[in-house]
Amino acid sequence: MSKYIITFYSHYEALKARRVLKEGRLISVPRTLSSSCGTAMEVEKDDNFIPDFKFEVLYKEENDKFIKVANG
Amino acid sequence: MKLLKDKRNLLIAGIIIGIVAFLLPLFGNPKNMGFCIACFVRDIAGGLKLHNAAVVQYIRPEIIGLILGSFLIAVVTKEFKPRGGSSPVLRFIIAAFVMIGALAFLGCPFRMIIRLSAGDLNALVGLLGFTGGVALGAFFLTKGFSLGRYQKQSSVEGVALPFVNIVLLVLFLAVPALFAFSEKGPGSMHAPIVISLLAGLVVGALAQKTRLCMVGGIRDTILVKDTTLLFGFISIFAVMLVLNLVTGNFKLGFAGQPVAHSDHLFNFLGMALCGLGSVMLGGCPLRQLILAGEGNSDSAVSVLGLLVGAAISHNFSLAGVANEGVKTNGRVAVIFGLVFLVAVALIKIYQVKKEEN
Repeated sequence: MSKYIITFYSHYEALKARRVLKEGRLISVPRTLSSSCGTAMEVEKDDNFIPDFKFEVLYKEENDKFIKVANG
Repeated sequence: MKLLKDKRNLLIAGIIIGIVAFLLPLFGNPKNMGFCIACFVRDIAGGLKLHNAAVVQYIRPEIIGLILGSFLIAVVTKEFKPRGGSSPVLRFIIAAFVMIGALAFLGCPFRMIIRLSAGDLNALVGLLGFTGGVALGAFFLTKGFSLGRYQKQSSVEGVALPFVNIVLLVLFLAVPALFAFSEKGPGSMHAPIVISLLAGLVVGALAQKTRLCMVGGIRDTILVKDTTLLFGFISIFAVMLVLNLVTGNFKLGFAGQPVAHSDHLFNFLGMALCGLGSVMLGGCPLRQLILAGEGNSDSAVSVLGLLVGAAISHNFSLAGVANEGVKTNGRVAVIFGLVFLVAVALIKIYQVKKEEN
């Protein structure tokens, strides 16, 4: 299991993603990930998790840092 | 936890920004107007002769500093990312209404906090309206409202507005006769240019680093129960409240407040319009300046919309009048603005739902 943060192009897409996943928690995008402010999702998933919904960027926690693993 | 660090940074930035905003009136800015994005953009519109209200004309270096401060720090930290193309015309019009709402109240959300910290209770009425507008905007976001996704753009597009500001600064310093300057009224009151510019640069850089936004905090608290972004303006409010109390500048009440009026309904509705429009744009007027500095051309278009909105406000007597209130023209414009923004949001939501089915 790994911790992921997912960013979105709109708040609505974040809401829809939350509905699809049925887990995780919506948060403000952390400053270290982006200089823009929007809604992100924090979720624990398998190590090779790739979302099957619309998203902007997928970040994975590695050694206390979030590394970009995929673009939506 | 990452968000804890964000909160701490916002608290620290808020303290510095609060002190700067407190000091600027001591150097010559109008009272309770250390910073006011609406007022200062309005003064620039006057300085550029886009409107001819003689008391509010000056090329405010704070605005130029905010954009360039954000631009410089974004370039240095490799966060300058040219992007845009999300409903530019709609953004321009929405921003013009944000300005019309703010000028009915006589201040942007930033000045609302500053006024509140000096005991101006009219700003509390404004804050209630603002929160209502932000809540309505947040509701529209949950229903699917969006102005569409941005695209990456060329660096020329991203640099355009910062470049225009450099040109404006150079002309202002070298050929001031080009511009109109108020001889009396708020436009005639200003800190020395170097101080204003430095204040703008410092606050612009801090706001870029921390994403300070008067709208984001309320929006995120409502949408995802995340209070991180609230910390910036709570911090500004607290530090300015203390400074105002200590220096005797705190005067609790509605009447006789500097550059303010007690037309409660239109203080409320004006800031509701400002709050709703700001959520639709994705940030308050200050945030639009900062994002424009980072290369966001959607925000650059919004800044131009704010500028034109200010010119419209004064050319058609829509702005609130200090110690009097909002006149008929302004009342009609604020109500029309609210109806217009709600209609835009509902049509956009309808289109999203239709696409889904």
